[in-house]
Amino acid sequence: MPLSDGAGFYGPLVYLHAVHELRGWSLNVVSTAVTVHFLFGAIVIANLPRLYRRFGLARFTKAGSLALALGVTGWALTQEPWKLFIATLFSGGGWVTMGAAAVNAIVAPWFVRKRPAALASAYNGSSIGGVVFSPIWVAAIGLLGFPWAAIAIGIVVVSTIWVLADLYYSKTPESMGLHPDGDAPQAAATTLPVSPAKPLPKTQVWKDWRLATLAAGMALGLFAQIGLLAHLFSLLVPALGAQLAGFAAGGATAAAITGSDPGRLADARSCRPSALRLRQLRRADFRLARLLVCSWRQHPPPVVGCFFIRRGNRQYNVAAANDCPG
Amino acid sequence: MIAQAEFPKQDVTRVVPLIVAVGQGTYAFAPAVFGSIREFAPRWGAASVGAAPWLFLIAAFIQTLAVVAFFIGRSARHDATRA
Repeated sequence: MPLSDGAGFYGPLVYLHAVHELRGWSLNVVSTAVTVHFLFGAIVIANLPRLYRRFGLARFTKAGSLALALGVTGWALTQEPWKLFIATLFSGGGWVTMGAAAVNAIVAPWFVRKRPAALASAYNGSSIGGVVFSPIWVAAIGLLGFPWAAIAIGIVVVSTIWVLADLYYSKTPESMGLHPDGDAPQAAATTLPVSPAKPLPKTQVWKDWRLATLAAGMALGLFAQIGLLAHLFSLLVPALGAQLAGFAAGGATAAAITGSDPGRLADARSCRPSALRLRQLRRADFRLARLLVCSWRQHPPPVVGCFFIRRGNRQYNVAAANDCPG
Repeated sequence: MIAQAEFPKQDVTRVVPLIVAVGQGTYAFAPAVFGSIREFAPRWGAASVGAAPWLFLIAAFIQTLAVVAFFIGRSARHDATRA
């Protein structure tokens, strides 16, 4: 997962700058390509359950890693903007087969009671990809040039996923004679905390104010953060130089991991009414908003801000890490 | 976690994918929008190219909207729990 997120989620912020520099295309074109990458990824995520049923989890993840490697190589090799957009379909579609939704599907059979904590650990593992890969990408591009760097990292991603898929993803606890959460066979069926709120009628889902505000808050927060993250690297380069900017972007992610304790927050057993979590989310938002406003004048402005971006971002990941079968 | 704490179990399986889908569907557009801001926004006084002040101000504004959304939702959540 760190590999795929390193290439699929955190990679585009390095590619954005690399392609912009290499080809001289406008920021508008290249950042629209990043948008298509994420957007096509969202379409694939929406169809993941169906695709897993059809092709099998292990096989589909292998195909995804191959698509990601091909897509990223396409980013590096493409000579015309329209070809870049074809490459984004491969990189976006490939990345999500190893992204958050896929992690959920892979982790789900193994953990029931401890699933939120397990997911939080898995997501933190993915974020390591951001810490490690941002500087690695920059160093590799500096050393080998973008095309060869993309091919080399693509080979590492594909071969790693291939081995992991054969060894682990294709197995279930039942096939290995084990039980979810590492429980003893005679352990009683576990129950998860249940909200006292009434279930929503089917047609009323979108009219529900709680859902609308929660979705709007998450969407707006993510919009600001992903937008900043995508441009962070290329904004940092003039101020810091490429290699240092790579470390700064990685450091931002490291700040996110050390800045919170998602395993504890996300443990279903300690799940209490929402006040605490909301306060944390709001605090992250306030901190981010305040910092961005006051930091833009300083030089280099995004450096301070980036540490807070990822701290905030992590809070959203924690909020999303919960019990969600399929 | 919020969804799990606030919605009944049978709703969580529907609510979470919806929120995630809306989130990714929205944030996917962020790089393009912010790219346009960097490209077309007027330069601001003595600020350097790397400073991109509009980008940060707009990001801060959107973050504030997110905070407002969470705030508004909070009272609704309490009402639903009491009901």
